[in-house]
Amino acid sequence: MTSKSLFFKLLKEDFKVRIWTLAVSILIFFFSHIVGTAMMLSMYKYNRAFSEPTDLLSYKVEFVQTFYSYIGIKNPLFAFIFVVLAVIVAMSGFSYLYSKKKVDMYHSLPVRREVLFFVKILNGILIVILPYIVCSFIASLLVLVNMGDAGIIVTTFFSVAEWILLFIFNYTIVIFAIMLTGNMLIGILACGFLNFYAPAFSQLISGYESTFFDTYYEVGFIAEKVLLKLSGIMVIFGVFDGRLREKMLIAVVGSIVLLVINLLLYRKRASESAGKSISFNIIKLPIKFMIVIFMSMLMYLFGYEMMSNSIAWGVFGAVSAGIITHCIMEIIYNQDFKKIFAKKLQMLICIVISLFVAAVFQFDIFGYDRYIPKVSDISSAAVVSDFLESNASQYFNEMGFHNETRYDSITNIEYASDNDIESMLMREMNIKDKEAVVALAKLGVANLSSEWRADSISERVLISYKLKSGKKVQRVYNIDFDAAIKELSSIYDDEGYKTGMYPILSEDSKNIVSVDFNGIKDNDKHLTSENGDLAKLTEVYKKELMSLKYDTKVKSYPFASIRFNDVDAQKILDAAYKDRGNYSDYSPDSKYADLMDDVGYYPVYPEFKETVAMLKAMGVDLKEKMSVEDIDRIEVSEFNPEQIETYYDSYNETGTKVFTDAKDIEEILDKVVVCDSPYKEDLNEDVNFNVLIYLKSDVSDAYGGGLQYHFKRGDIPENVK
Amino acid sequence: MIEAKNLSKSFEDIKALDSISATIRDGNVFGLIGTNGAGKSTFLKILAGILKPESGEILIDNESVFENINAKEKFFYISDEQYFFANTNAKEMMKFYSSVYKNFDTLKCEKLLAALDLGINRKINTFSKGMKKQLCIALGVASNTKYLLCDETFDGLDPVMRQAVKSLFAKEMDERGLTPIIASHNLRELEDICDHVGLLHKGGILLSKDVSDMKLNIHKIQCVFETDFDMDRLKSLDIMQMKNSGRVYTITLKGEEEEIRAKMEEFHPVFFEIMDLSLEEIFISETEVYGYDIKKLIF
Repeated sequence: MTSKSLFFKLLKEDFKVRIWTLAVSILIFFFSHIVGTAMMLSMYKYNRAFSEPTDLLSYKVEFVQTFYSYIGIKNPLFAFIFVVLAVIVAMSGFSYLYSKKKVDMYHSLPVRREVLFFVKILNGILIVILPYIVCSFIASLLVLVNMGDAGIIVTTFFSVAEWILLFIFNYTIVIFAIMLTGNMLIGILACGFLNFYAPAFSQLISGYESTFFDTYYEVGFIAEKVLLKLSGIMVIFGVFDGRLREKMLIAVVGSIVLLVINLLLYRKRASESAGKSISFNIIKLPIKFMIVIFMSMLMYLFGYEMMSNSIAWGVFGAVSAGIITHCIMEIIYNQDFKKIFAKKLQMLICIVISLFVAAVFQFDIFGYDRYIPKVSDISSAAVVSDFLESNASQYFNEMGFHNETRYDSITNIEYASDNDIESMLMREMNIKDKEAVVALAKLGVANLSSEWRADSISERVLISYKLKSGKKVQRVYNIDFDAAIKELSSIYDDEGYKTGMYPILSEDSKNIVSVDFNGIKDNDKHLTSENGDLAKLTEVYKKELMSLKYDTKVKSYPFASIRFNDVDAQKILDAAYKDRGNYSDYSPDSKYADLMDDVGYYPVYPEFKETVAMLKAMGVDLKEKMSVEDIDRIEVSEFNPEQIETYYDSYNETGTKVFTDAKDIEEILDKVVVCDSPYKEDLNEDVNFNVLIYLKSDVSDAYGGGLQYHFKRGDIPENVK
Repeated sequence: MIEAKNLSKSFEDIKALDSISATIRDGNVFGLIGTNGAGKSTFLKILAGILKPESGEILIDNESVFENINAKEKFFYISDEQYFFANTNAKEMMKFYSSVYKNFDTLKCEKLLAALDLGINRKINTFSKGMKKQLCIALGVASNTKYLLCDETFDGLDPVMRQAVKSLFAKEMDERGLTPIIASHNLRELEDICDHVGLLHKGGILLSKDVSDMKLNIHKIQCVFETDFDMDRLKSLDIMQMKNSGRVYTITLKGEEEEIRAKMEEFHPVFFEIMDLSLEEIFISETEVYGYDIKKLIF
């Protein structure tokens, strides 16, 4: 009998034994996919009957989108289903290792253990994926027949492939848990341990850092990020903020690694371990230490925080949790309640370690907060702060076609989170003036012990160092603006800072196919090559942006925004415009400028004279300020309680003062920062006053509200006082 | 031939086997006797490649067993509590074993099952303990392996069925040289089937001998002497044990049967006859020599 034919014979025999799991799998996927899709289609048809014919297309698009979301990788229902199925098929296949009777039978057979292992593994996968694939494609065919979009099959194919990879990853984790344990209850507990320990430990460390370190940065150590992803559950439920490719990579690599480890363990595993708690004695001690120390540290933090930062309660929590957890572990290991107090020395060591680690954080024994690397050790640095650039999201939000659906007429903006933006900036930015960065950090450290002052303007400043050793260090400080102007200036004026912050500076100007100018009110323009040399305009803008000094940025005010679109961006804007439909009040020039205006807009300062001149030459009727004639009235209100007391007399009961006189309006307009464009800089604005400008053109409009602005800092007009 | 050389195996603090050496010749029925916990099952599991010995080795036809498919193809292991798939029947188990053992004889198995009156399509979970044992034996015999390892297989079989199985083994031994290795805590079960017996106690082999050798050299006689017979004359016999009830003496003694018969005739007893010794009696006698009270060990 060849080993190949033996393999398939065993596969068939094993399949017969596990037939009930196939029935479960078929039932789950039949109802979740075929019945679920049929119900969705039925609802769609019901709703369509009440729709206007013009809405049919959008209904169709919406349905297809809903279907994609349903079968797609982010649906938690399927994440749950695949996790449960992974446990069921892994247990049905390998639970024989928990029974002495079964192990005796299987291991006495003239079958190589590897063959038996792969038979069990493969059957488990087939039992889940065969019904899944069939039901998925039947569901997509149902949609295809009703919607007539062949793209559904492709999307289904990708979704199926992605789910299968995630399932296999979780399946190998459950098998790993089985290999390590000797009975089913402990095996299920081990599944929980493998899936939740690493992320929970990561969260615990983050909790300690954020509680005890003033300069702790949210993203934490690399180890924390890695730990967070060391979990099949986290990956399949997409709990960590990972991209699809990253998830798939983790799933594929994780599955392969675990498969190899499982095979080695399976070969190594002694038959007599069936029925025991843990099948390899060597792992008992490290697992116990990991769990006891984790629980002890967790309860220290819990006791400390719950009892208003009480160290005594923290210690009580750590000691009691350490003892209880150790006792439980010993009962489990020995499967004997009488062994509850076994190995007291190990219990003591665990508790001492926990308290020591807690003390390291509590008293910052290793000087985390005060650590600043030497300039000579720094390879490059990045600084992220609203003091330097408050519009960073413009450069890291991404316009694109809908990722989930791959349906090419649906556009969206993928908004970058603050963490994403900071991560990208820390990765891309290489500030050369390291001395300035270190000086800024020193100000931050000095500020740790200083008291808060009401008159100071302070802001969060994130500093990231890439050290020559390859290590990355991040710290967050609260820094006083006035004290740090010199360092901030040096950093902003650094080429490395600007190149990291502004992607346009690294873009080839020849790639630009259109430019959107977005100015005051409707002063917008979409420029194409027909209007002039866009590459030259881009080059001029890049030169002026690179030359922009922090001093200018602080004192001046951008009056408009500009966006440089390459071919891909223009394609998305065209699609977005199509999606939005043709609104009659949508002026041709502003049709692109207002679309997706959370992405890609850069400031236009009055000091960018060459850019302004070129824009004018290309036909932009550029307005740098509002015209008095257009204004009906201005309402100024202020919020500062001290200011109200001082100026209350001149304001009405709601704290508002209304100006209708042209001279007053002129005076106010000179002092107001007027910027209606997407790029907004409030660095040098006085936010104590709110200035609402009502245009004459909007008076007849019942919904026409005022346009809201602020005064320039330190430049409040006399007539509003 | 199966050779065990200095086999040792521990389970945490418990020493299950302690440097056991034994040889099991082909074509014999090897009986492994011992109390519960003596190490019989551990020995058989090591022999079946289920457990890995800590030291020593076990060879089947000069091949190591653990993780060796060639060696494993030569035996069929019947555990004391054989596992059958859930909700299955004899036919399915037959199919399973036929996919694993290349010489499995399905026809033979069907015939055996029919002879044993075991329904081929009947769910195994409806079988009695004895029926399950019979099924195991049928599957084991039909697998046509050279060795059949039986752990307490006769436990639960009624006397009629025991005789049937013994005949079956005898037939298989005769036809294809099957070597059954039977572990049991009950010496009486193995009495009329084993050719060679090994006695395990506390992880070590106390005794390993051919039953025929033992039977040839130990005899029991029952006799009545004249009233004036000088009992000292019996000292010329190699007496192991002597009991009397009135004038009737029961003597267990060593020696060739003819020699004993000749000497007894010289004593001119009123009556004497040589009686069959049970294996149990032989064991009692043999182990007493080593200073063990065998009754405490195996009965």
